[in-house]
Amino acid sequence: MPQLERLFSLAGADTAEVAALAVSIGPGSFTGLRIGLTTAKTLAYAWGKTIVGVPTLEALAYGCPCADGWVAALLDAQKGRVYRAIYRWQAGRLCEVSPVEIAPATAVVAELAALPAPVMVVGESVREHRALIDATNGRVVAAPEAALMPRAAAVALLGYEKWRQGSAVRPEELNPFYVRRAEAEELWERRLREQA
Amino acid sequence: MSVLVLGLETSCDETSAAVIEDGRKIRSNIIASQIPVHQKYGGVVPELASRRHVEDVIPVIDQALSVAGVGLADLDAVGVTYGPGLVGALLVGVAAAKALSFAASIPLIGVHHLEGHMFAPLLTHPELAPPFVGLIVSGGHTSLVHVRDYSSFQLLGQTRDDAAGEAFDKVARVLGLPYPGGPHVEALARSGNPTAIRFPRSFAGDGTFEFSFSGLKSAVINVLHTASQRGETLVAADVAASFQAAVVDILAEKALQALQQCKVPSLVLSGGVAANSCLRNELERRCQSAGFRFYSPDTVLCTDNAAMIGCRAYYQLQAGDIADLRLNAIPSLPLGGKR
Ligand SMILES: [Zn+2]
Repeated sequence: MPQLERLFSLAGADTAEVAALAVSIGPGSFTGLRIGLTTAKTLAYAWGKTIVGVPTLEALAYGCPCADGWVAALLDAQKGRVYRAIYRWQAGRLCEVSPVEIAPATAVVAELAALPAPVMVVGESVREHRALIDATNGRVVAAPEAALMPRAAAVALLGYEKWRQGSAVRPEELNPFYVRRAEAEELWERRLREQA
Repeated sequence: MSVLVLGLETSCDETSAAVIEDGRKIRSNIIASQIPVHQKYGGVVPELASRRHVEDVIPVIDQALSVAGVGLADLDAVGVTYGPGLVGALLVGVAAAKALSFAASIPLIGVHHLEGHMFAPLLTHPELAPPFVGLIVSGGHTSLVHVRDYSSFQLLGQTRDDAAGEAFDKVARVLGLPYPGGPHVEALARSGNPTAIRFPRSFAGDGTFEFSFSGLKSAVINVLHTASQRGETLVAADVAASFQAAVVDILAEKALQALQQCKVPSLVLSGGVAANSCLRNELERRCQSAGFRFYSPDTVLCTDNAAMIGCRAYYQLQAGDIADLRLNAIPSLPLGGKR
């Protein structure tokens, strides 16, 4: 929140000029998502504005544009697994090829190496799995440092596109995109299956 | 001009928002309970609680404002529970309160959850004012507090192990009663004999104001276990009534000692277990015969609610106890802790 105050003064903007809010909805750290989303939802509510949810992996890929090519975004999903989504830039538009999934990092890198063309990977998990990536002989290429991390500007720009396409909602309608369920739920269902 | 405070509470499994006028009048008090979410797990699942808070927080705030017939611009401050509680759950309320404070340009007030409970009876009894001894009894807490005035509190003692409400829930489980167990134990106890079984009263550290309930809980489990090994059947209602009598006895004994030591005229009961009518009646009876006044909140104000947070925040606002936008959740915030 103190950052938000500084942001408005730096931008020389007034909060009344805000037309809509855009926020990363995940996946990511559950608690981190909730803080960001609750803050954005409540601001939108208080200002009487609509809000656009931007998938975190899509915003990452959006920050790594090219003329024509494949981009995959990877984020840590714990226990050696990653969240991954695959996109393709075509004529200046980012298209989703394969939606967010969770898989072991080794399986994901193998999957990406088998794509029809070399793919650039973004996201903080690239650092952690650089050895795997470098072993693909150029089929999977780590993006430069500058493009690895999620940036609010990419969220805002992508959010703006989505807003123009009419995907803004009322603040109470937007919820985190956790991908994973709570551990307690998974355990509960496993127990039910074992009993059956 | 009246002062309007919006209270927010998300420390455990209730999402609540309330508008309080001049610290005492409830203009609205909306509570979205998550009991059905957690029931099948037999207790609160923190991740599920946090998820639900994110979904409920805006509708609950919106309803609190509309029932009170006010807009954000009419508010003088926003108060929020920032501890103790489940960290992920607290953070949702804190983030929402900070955003409201920023958007509406109103002071942000960080409220201690137990101080909120302690102030809940002020909403039910207009004449009540410090000094008093507060007895807070809930699923998470059993504490005795000397409330000298509206901003000076001294923790006299708390539980060393289980909270009283936790003991109720655990005994409910061994008796095969559904979650949350407290009200079920009380209902069952009504048809039982409270003197059927003499459970031990642990006055942990006599002369101190500390409590201990884990020994009592174990005693209940032992009695049931021994009976089943011998092939005897105990009357569950008697077990519940005898257990409840022991809890009430321990709480009343310490509370009366605290009143005498602090030399204050009133005992103020609050927290989820304050809804237990056996506890209320017994405390009232003992207070009366010892010449003390006894207060407890309306039942809706016993369990977690934002009205009590708004009430507490009002008195903090009066005292200039205001937080800034760096306010963070503190899951194990001590009473009288730094903000
Ligand atoms: Zn509580």
